[in-house]
Amino acid sequence: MPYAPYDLIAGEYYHESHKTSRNFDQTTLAAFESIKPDIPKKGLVLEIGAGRGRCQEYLSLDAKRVVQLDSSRAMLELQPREECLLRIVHEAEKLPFLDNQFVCVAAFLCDPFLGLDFLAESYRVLTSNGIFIATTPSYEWGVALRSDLGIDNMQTRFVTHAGTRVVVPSVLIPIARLSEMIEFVGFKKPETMIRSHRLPMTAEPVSPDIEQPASKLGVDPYSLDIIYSIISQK
Amino acid sequence: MKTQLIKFVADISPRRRFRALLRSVFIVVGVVAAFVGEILLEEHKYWWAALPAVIVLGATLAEFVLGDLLTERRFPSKTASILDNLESKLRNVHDQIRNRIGELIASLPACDRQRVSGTLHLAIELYSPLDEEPEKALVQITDYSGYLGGRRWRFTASTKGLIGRCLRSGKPEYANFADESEYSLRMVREFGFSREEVDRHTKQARSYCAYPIHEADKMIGVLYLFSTEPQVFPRAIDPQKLTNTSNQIVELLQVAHIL
Repeated sequence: MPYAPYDLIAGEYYHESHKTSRNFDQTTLAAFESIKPDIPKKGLVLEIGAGRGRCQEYLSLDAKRVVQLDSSRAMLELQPREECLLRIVHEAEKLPFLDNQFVCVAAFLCDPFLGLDFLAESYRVLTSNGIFIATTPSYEWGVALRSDLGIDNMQTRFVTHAGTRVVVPSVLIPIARLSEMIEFVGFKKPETMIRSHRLPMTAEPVSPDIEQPASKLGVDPYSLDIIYSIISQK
Repeated sequence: MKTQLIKFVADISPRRRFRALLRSVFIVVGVVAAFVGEILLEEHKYWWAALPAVIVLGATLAEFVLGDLLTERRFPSKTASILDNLESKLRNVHDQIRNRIGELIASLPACDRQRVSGTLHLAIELYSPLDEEPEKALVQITDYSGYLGGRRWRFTASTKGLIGRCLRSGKPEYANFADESEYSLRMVREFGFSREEVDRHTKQARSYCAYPIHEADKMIGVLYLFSTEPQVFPRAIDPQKLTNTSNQIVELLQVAHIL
């Protein structure tokens, strides 16, 4: 079984009380309503770090096309969840598929497993001209918050309903290096778009973990970039 | 001055440092006991003075007999002589080896190079005081290039760690960990360390590379790199650059007559 740090918080990860995660959801939804990536109409889609599944919500994809993969069995067993073709418990850094299997790889909030292995594996399993779609917390937001919390830039913390502090991996990478990494593993540079996104003005309530770094950086919480979206083509 | 003194102490081999510590303890105990005995004698408390006299005798015996035995047990003299020899030979090439490793780190693409550290371990044979049979091990012979990492002259058995695995297999070995919990778990389960040993480790690193260094057909050491960023190794490594660095290190070791 793969190492699964999110097993510890799976039961409540999608609860309204985890405001930062809900703010990320709102931002992501607004981002893809605006961007509308050009996903091939046929072929399989792999959603990595799927949790309860987001491809229908964010990308309006047919459930029958989507394979959901997550290292956490607990996350993959959550209900209610998006329907899919298949659910697989596996790590993201070494995918259990042959090359060129998927027309699209999607990974929303991929920070727990973001790195060269994950990006290279995503590239490997994509078909030619396949599309890679991902989001990850922004470096500027994360560094500002984590320095105040006294935690390393490679991890984040959740506070459970029981008051327990759970630390999970979360890699922060600035845009320039993210672009370098994506190109390094083989994605075409001209076809790679990395965008920054902010909380939509209608998003309420705003998490203290967004208000605090915004205040530190001297900006309004709705003016702080909190996630990056990555769209790239093989 | 203070920094130089600290560096001087840190550069003394562990064996000498241990022996010096024991000697200091025995001398302090002996001197204090002698002082107390002198006071008791002046007060004509001759029977009481016998006690510190016994302590002085004990401290003297400890210094001349027990100290050597304890030091030999903890740092067998054959091993110590190997280390002393290594240290003196390395003096002229140590910084050059560190620089080669630093250049390799600086060439790594698509990662935060500030988070990468590296060092060189030499393959040696350790002689046990129990049975005279040598055991394969590694000794770290350079300070780290990069901001993390422990002091040199640390030994690692061939049964432990990623470098021990590399020594046994003779092949490049890599490991990545998502977080500190996974690191601690796997270092005990997979890499042969005890929980107490893992507690003493630097646990910030997330990606490791152990690369075997050969002179002709013989494996003579391990080039060890790690990063506090996950998934750097092996992807960021250029095999040709790694081979070049390895060859340069072998040349430097040959020049220093270590090989």
